[in-house]
Amino acid sequence: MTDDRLLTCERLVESLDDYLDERVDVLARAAVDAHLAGCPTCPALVADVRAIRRAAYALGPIDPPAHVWTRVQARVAADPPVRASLLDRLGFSVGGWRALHAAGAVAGFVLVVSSLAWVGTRLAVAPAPVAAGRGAPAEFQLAEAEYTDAIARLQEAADVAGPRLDALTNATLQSSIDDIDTAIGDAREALAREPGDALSQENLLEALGSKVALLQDTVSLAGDIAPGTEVQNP
Amino acid sequence: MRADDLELARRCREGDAAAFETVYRDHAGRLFGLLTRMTGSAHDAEDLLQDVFVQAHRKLAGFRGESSLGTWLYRLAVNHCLDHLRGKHSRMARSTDSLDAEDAAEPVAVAPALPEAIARIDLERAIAQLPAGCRAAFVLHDVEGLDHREVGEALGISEGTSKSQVHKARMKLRVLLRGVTRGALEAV
Repeated sequence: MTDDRLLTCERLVESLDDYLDERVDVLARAAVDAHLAGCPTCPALVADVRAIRRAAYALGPIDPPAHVWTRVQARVAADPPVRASLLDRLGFSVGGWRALHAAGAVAGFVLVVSSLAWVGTRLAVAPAPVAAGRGAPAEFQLAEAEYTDAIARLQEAADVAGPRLDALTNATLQSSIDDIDTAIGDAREALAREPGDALSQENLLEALGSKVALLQDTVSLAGDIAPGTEVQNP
Repeated sequence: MRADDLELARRCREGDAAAFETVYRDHAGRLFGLLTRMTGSAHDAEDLLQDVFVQAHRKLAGFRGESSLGTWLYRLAVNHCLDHLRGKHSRMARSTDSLDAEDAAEPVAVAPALPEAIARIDLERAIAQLPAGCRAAFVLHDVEGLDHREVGEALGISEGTSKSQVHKARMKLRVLLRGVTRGALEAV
């Protein structure tokens, strides 16, 4: 293999896509064909690249496992910005939520869940995350206390309701709760370092709001399963 | 088609879970294939696919129909996957660099050539074994059909580097697939 031929092999590699896609002019194609006729290595290379390209281009979609959709649903259901925007669209202001909350009422929005693990259409309820940083420190503390109180009460109900759900749903919900608890812990740590930081306050309230919403979903899901028809866990 | 996409997006924005499920069912397979091949890991691809659809759910308010919903989701998935790969690359820079540095650009002077029809499962396995850098370029170019300019823009590399990365990937695949073919022949 001389240096001249090596150069030609390298040039063939550079122009291989254009050659295979027939985007070279007649002269360039003739030069490549002439090289292929005399080269001991490049014809096999071109044949292999042609086969690889053909097989690669024919690769189609891959169906994801079913649990991916279940997890997407759980994460979307627990997603604070979406809940907030939904509540906004339904016309619930922060002040309005507080009034409703104080009165023991709940703002509602429709959460449709479907799959083997999630059983049909549900009506979930959640308090709107409070916009932190816009109010006084006392307002933040009040909101945090309200969320914390709501979580304690809902946790008791969820502990009772959980066993009525199937194992996969429970695992999905618990995984989401774990993620939210991590976010709550992170926000509390940040606030311990900088108690007045508006962003950390907002993060904490959003995370607490997500936990309230997810616990409500847990209770709501279990409530939709009629007694005696509970999913049998393996 | 675009009107259908806008209608689906509008329903998603309004909290219609059935519409969001339709979006997922229509596009998850293509995106999961892309993510699995780009990362070389079905497990990573599952996590990324979840992230993509959660992001999509949040960002659908910004979908204006300038492109199809499929293209919009595809860009979301590619960008998220590249962020993931960059993070992973920085964590494993040394090992990945050493793999990428392997010189596989020389034509392999061996015969016979690969069979004309390469089994899909063999190719999927071989792609998963490629180094991350050239795997991404190969998947975007040879599987997804992007040209080298588009691959370069997506990966933040030059067109020439895209060509050399794709070539490197093909040469590695050639070696890997020849191994599979040889093994299969010896097993007969």
